[in-house]
Amino acid sequence: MKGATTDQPRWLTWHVLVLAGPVIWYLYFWVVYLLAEAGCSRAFPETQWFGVSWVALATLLLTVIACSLLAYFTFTAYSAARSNPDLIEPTREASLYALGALLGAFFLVATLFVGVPAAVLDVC
Amino acid sequence: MSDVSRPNLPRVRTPPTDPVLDELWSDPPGLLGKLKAVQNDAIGKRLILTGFFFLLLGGSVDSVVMRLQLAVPNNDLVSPQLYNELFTNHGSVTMFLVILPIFEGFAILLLPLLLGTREMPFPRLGAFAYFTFLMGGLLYYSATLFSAVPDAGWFAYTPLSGLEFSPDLAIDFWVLGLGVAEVGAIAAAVEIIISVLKMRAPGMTLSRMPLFAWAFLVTAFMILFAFTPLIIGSMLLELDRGFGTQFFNVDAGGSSLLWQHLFWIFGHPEVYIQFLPATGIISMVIPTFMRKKMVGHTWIVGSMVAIGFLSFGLWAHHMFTVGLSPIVGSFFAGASMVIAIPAGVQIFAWLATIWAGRPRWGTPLLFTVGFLALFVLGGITGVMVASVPFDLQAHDSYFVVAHLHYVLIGGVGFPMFAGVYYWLPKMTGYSLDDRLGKWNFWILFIGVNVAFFPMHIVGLMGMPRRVYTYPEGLGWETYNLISTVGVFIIVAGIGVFVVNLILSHRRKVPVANNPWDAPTLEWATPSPPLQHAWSIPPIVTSRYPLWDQDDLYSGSEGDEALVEALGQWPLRWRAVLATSTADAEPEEVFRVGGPSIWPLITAFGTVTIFAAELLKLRLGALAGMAVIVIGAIGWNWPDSPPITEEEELEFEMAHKIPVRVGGSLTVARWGMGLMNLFVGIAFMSILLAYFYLRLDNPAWPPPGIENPSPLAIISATALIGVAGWGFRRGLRRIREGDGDGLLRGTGVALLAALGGVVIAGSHFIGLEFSSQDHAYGSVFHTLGWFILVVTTAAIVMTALIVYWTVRGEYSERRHVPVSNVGFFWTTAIIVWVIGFGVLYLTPALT
Ligand code: HEM
Ligand SMILES: [Cu+2]
Repeated sequence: MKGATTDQPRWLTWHVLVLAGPVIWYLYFWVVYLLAEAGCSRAFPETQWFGVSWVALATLLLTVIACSLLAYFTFTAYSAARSNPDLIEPTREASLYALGALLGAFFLVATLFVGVPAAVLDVC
Repeated sequence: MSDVSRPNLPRVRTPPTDPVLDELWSDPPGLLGKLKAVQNDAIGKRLILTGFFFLLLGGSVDSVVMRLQLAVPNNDLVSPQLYNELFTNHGSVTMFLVILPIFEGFAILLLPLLLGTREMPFPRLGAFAYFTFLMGGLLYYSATLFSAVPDAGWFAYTPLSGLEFSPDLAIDFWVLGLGVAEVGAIAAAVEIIISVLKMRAPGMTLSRMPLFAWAFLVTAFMILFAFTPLIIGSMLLELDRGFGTQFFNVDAGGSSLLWQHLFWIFGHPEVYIQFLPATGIISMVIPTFMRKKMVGHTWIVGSMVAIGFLSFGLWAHHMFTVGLSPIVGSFFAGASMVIAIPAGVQIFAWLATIWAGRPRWGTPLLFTVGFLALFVLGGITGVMVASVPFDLQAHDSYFVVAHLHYVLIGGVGFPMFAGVYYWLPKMTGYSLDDRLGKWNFWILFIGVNVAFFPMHIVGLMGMPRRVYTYPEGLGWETYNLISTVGVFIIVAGIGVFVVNLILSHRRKVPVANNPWDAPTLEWATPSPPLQHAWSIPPIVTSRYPLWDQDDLYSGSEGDEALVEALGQWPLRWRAVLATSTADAEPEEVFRVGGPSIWPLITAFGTVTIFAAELLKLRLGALAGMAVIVIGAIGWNWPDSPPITEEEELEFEMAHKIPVRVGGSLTVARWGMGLMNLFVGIAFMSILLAYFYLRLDNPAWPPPGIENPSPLAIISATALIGVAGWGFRRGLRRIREGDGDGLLRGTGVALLAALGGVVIAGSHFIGLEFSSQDHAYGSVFHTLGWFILVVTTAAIVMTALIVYWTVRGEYSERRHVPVSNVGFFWTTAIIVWVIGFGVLYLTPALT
């Protein structure tokens, strides 16, 4: 399996670039959701550090991490799409990388929509 | 677009082998032949017809009676109880037994033609899917015979669906009957995924694949990820009802919200499972009738994938009113807002194509435009109810009913009609009347608006849903009466459709290969196509092969020779071509299963288990299990290969492509991969249940129950480790052709694993708390037994491998089943380690 562009690491195949966006978002969503459920549950009631809820902090931290990863993959996929015109490599068409870039960008937005309200809302 | 004006070019070539192959691929005649049938045409048609049958039975009669009841205030046509049964049945049937099978039928019927292959990858699995679906539907419907009709709504909320409030069998029929049908849905999804990824014509790269196939690929994955949690949820509900567990019993540490979560983790994706195939159909109809290639192809693919994933983060927007914490509510509201982006992108791409094209107003296009109009309205009301403050007002009012019918009838029903008017002539060979089609469309379109638009208004005026009647003087009368009139207009529209079908069948006006001058592969074949569709598999070099290619058989030299050769050889067994996932380069020629009675028997065993549970005949469940095991063995029994290894080799040498008469390597590996995914999702769903129950209980284990000692499980785990090691060794040996080594390795694995399961099993039987003591006990036992069942499945497979090894079935070249079972062992061991880790270690951590 070849990497997306010649100067990219080998593990960055089209599979990775297409699926990175959706999969990162999916895992992110489950983790922040389960943390929030746990933080507001009867078993582990919400605790505050210096007046800030740890659930909100963890959510924001995870949002930042997810967004950085998504930005990285989106950019990589985008450059791969640009440097892989159909003519040079007719079978592995650039449109798969373009697909990866589109998905990455979309899930970046989705992550922001999900995570940012945690900065302003009450937690439990 | 100059490239579009070349009607009916190019066509399939018709080699002299056509009749021989057609005969080879036909299902056997007679009644027994019908029961053994596996052909995708047969299975696809049956699924569609059965879905339509359930629609007439459940969808329409119920809704007409309900609307009659609501036509005037204080009506007493039906009793409140009957009304509850009607809406429960209406919702459950349409959501589980109508849309899904019809679309899966579309896929199974059309995908081989569209992708340029001869069959689905596992024809027998297709037959199994059909029979389980049919029997599940009938089991569900047999509730009527026992006058125990489900009445708890299509989502069967606990505690209403629990034993206390629903003591009779009604809910059991709901859970178990639909459970069988869900198994069928998953089986068909596996077929669809593998056919789309591995069985495309040479040259049909992922980027050239039709949008129809993309839509079904995403849908099928969603079915796997959504129906599995539902099956687990239903299992827990049935355990509560039939075995006295406490999952949903709040008094014993259970949680009634757990059901709502498990249900909607399925339920919201389910609405997109129904919607995405519709977008696939629309995306085929628009280019054909606008004579214009789709604008923004990649954007549409991206939207489909995005919707597929995102829809798994929306479920709790059906639960805004249960008191979620604000932050959790905001996660789901946020995700619900962004889903408007991909939906909007798709709509823009369609509109742009329509804008740029030159329309030909055939009936399929009319239905497409109707779809756009209705769906946009339904989508807007959807976004409205997805905002928390609005929903607190509109939840459980007729506004929601209006929303869901606009999206379901407009967004799903209309595309279905478009698809039928588009493809039916191809499949039957007879045309449908276009003028009647237009009548059909206009009557339906008007009917839907007359029936459902007023519901927005009464909803906002405060009329709640699911009421069997309402008082006078609230200003609701006129709107309700109008809605009822609308339903009769809809019935008339469907009547026109049925008349059109009958006339087409009577008049038998033959249609050409490509009556619409459409661009995709299926239109190159005769109407109706041959059993195997393609004597010579096509070679694809464009997204729109019939518009862009001069003929269907030019490609690289190797590919040309290969497809040509496949038209000549083999003529005695059903050969298909597997191609690589991204680039569709030929990978392997393999044999697909032929007609067989075993899928029916296995399906029968499956339904027996569920029916036995219904009647509380626990021995019957064991019998059903035995039938399944026997059925699965018979199904997979290696019959003597129709050719020798030398003949395989000869073709291999000539075309540099492996020939596998004993079953595919790549496709079987994907099959096992999806099976592992299924087990993994089921496992995660139980872990999720464990997690929720844990959170609901301040003390875990609860007072009065001790953490059990882990010693027995530790020693059992060691034995399972030995088993995994032994199996791996055996597998390595057979790769070197060492049959004795295989026998030694798998023999060790078998004995060690048996030992492990016996130790763990007896430890579980001896536990001091039972599954009825507190939700802790329930989830502890359920997760433990789940792990043991998975391991036992691995043991049964290993035993078969040992048996076939002794009989000398495997060689260095032919040992696909061994590697597959090895793959399953990996999953079983992961499930074992994580599962028992959670049960025995995590309580100590918190
Ligand atoms: C293919 C498109 C869609 C279909 C087939 C669909 C179907 C449904 C169905 C069947 C229900 C009723 C569930 C019940 O019985 O309670 C429902 C409710 C709901 N839908 Fe949709 N829907 C679609 C699109 C959307 C969209 C795009 C949104 C918002 C982004 C949305 C938001 C909601 C919400 C929030 C409810 C719950 C309302 C309540 O019960 O208070 N839906 N939908
Ligand atoms: Cu929803």
